[in-house]
Amino acid sequence: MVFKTLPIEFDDFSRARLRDEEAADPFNSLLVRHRERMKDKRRSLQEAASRPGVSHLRLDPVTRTVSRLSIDLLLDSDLQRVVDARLTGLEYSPIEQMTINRRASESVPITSRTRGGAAGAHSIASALALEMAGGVTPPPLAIIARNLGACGELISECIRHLFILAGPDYSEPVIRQTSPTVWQRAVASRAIGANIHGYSTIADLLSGLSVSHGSLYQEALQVSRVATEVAVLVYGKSPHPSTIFPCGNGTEASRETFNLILGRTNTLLDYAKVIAAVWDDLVDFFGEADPHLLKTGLHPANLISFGLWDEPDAYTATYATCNEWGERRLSGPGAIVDGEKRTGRLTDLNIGLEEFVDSSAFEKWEQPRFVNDPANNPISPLHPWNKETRLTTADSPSRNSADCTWLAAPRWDRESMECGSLARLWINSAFRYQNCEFIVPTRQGLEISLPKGAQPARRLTWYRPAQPNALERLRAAAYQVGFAGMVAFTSLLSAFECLRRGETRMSNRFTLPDRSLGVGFWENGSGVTLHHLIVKDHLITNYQINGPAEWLASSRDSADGCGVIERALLNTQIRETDNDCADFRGIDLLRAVRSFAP
Amino acid sequence: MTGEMPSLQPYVPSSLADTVTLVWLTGVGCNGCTLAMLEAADPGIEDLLFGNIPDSPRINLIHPELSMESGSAFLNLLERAAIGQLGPMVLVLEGAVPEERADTRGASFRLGTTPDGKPLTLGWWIERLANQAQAVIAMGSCATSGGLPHAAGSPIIVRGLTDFLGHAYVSRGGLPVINIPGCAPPGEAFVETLTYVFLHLQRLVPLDLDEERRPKWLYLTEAYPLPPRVEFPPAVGFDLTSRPVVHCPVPETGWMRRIGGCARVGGGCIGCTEPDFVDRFLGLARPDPAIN
Repeated sequence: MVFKTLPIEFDDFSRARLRDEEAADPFNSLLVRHRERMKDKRRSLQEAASRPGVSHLRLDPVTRTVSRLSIDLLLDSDLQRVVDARLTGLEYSPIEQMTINRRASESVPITSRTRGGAAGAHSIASALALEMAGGVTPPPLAIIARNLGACGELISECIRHLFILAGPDYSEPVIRQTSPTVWQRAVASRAIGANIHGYSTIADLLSGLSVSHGSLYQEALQVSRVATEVAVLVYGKSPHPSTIFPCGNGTEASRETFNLILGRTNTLLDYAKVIAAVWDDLVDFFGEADPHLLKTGLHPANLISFGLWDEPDAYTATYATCNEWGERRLSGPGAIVDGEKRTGRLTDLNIGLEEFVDSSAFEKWEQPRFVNDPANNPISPLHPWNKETRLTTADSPSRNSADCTWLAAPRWDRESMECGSLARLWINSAFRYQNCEFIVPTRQGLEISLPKGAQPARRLTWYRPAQPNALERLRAAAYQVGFAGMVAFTSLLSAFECLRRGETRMSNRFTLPDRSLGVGFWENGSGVTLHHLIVKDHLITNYQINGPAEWLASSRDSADGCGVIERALLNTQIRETDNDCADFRGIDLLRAVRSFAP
Repeated sequence: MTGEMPSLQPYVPSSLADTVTLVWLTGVGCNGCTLAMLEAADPGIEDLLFGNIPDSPRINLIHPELSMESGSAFLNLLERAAIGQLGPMVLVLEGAVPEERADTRGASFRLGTTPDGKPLTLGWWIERLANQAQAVIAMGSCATSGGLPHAAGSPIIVRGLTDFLGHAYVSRGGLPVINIPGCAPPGEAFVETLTYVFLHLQRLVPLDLDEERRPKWLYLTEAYPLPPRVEFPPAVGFDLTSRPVVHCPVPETGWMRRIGGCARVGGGCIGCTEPDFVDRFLGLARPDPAIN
């Protein structure tokens, strides 16, 4: 079954239709029922919150995240359990509204400015949405170049996630202060991957993670620059590529360009061996030495990925064929709810989308434009093609309260879905995608074969964990480096083959019909990057962007369902207080949040 | 004023301080300038953190994306910097400053709250920190002139840092707001400018700023808004005559370590170092084919 909550079912020919066509407003009537169900849950939370001794904790602002957030928590009387958690997005982006009435192709450089760290991903998502609206594709080498740029950017994001943003929470000064017994154990624990990464004990690794001074921290700064150079060789600059446009890529398709990328990719592939060994050692150590960390950031296996890196032979840009080109992506699409595979089809992923603005600083919009997608599948009035971005007025109470969030809440089949490296690896293994010859799904996970470089060849074996938690998210981000590195390697082989055949064309004519719509399905390091647009006479009439900040850090939906990070916080045990910390820093909670790189 | 070499003095290393606090705040924008700053390599931000650059102090970085501290501990650092407890301080802003008056649909960019739950605005912090700072740097076009969020169609009102603090603003080190425009500017331009600011504050070098208060030597090269390389006749063509001229370090330096660089690799130029580039130049950089 693809949808359990949304009123969409499939006939014998896999065509979607409304489950209860008689109901006047099936999506909404269902929401009312859903809200009723959630009411009891909510009430029990409120009861818990009103118990004596429950205390309020505000972490404001949360640093070392990609977007600016704050968290409000209600903690149990023993300060060990989170009774309630509410996330607030502190940044407003005017980008969606600013694209309206501009020339369609200008949306690429404008929407790139959604998120600097993933600017290439947003540029590509915008170009894909326009290509779908126009039904036109770039030449093969331009698609390959785009993939290479995306590999570079995604690898640099993963490296920063692991060592600049999340890693310091496991570094020597923090462990010494918040869990001294674990530090003692770390000193006595030999690192299994020592022959690969060169650190003989776990304590050495933890020292390496220290902010600024740690050797792993410094190496990460340097290697993430190498990855950014891969992106820059294609994009021209980073952030905000100057070469990406619909139906092409401005980059000069010379042998020199690809050779420069190859040299840097080799460096990254050697680093991929190191980074996987480092995080295997760290994650395995902490899971054993400090088992409560296995529950930190625990979230049900609700995972979503729209996939990225198109296969030039398969990509046709159109919505009608997106399930065919989607499943050929070098990282494939899929949705998993509570560990159960729901669908790998991009159309299903798309029609299951809804975006709630109830707890945000945005207003509801009026009449929906569409009841169906272009393939005649039903879509919700809350689908991004129906949504409009409207700010509440500046004097409205929601805007002037301290818990005004700027993040709308996207859901799939009414579920909050985790996205990012762990979701991508999990989906690629569970759906058995094998579109890259060096990345093989197995029953338990993935095998990634890294070629010999300065370091010997090595096969990385990633195992699907029982359930997503903070530590496993970090391990997945480390393996994602090898995964993306081998996608880059594969793309380079294709690029050189194109050059050998003389297929050096990098752009096709971009055209648009008078009225059209499109969606760019893509991913950045932290997860889903979706651009839905509607165009009329070459002008944008509506534009909707959903990035990982919305997917992960959004607050409640209409049925009062939690956002992903909120739910992960509810599952997190606070153990910092065990050690009688004079200076409570909320480290367990921050680890849970930062594991997502929101 | 700022461009003049002080009278030749005997070499006195590091008269500023051993450590200077660098407060980096983010306004309305995409946080991409932080990324650009991290990309600078030779020297990189770590060289400044360790004081590896001759005559430059070690920096103590307070940054929402990089600092170890969170929550009240982070705000406490800002507070101490604002009241001068952290020694000499340089303020950097990335992103535009939102207008927070109730009648302007302000964006309520809060950075902390008062004990009674009222949002502390970005503008409130900037004013206090700028009052204490030896130098103030606007990093990127949003901070220098409002950038993308200032363009037509933006539902909020934002300003660049010079407009926010007033054109008469002078830092404790005797400098106006120093602008490093670009969307984003290269990180190398930031590190180089910051180093010059440190040297200047020690009266070791002049700080040559142009009339737009940009480091003069970095914004000499001319660039022209134009579309990316396409293999069909583009709607606006590649003809450079009658195009506006913008100034930018990238045509000469590339993006990082001399690689990349917009038009150098076949990308378009959207004139992103200029005020209001989105409304003025984006149309000249469209890759759309000529309609025949």
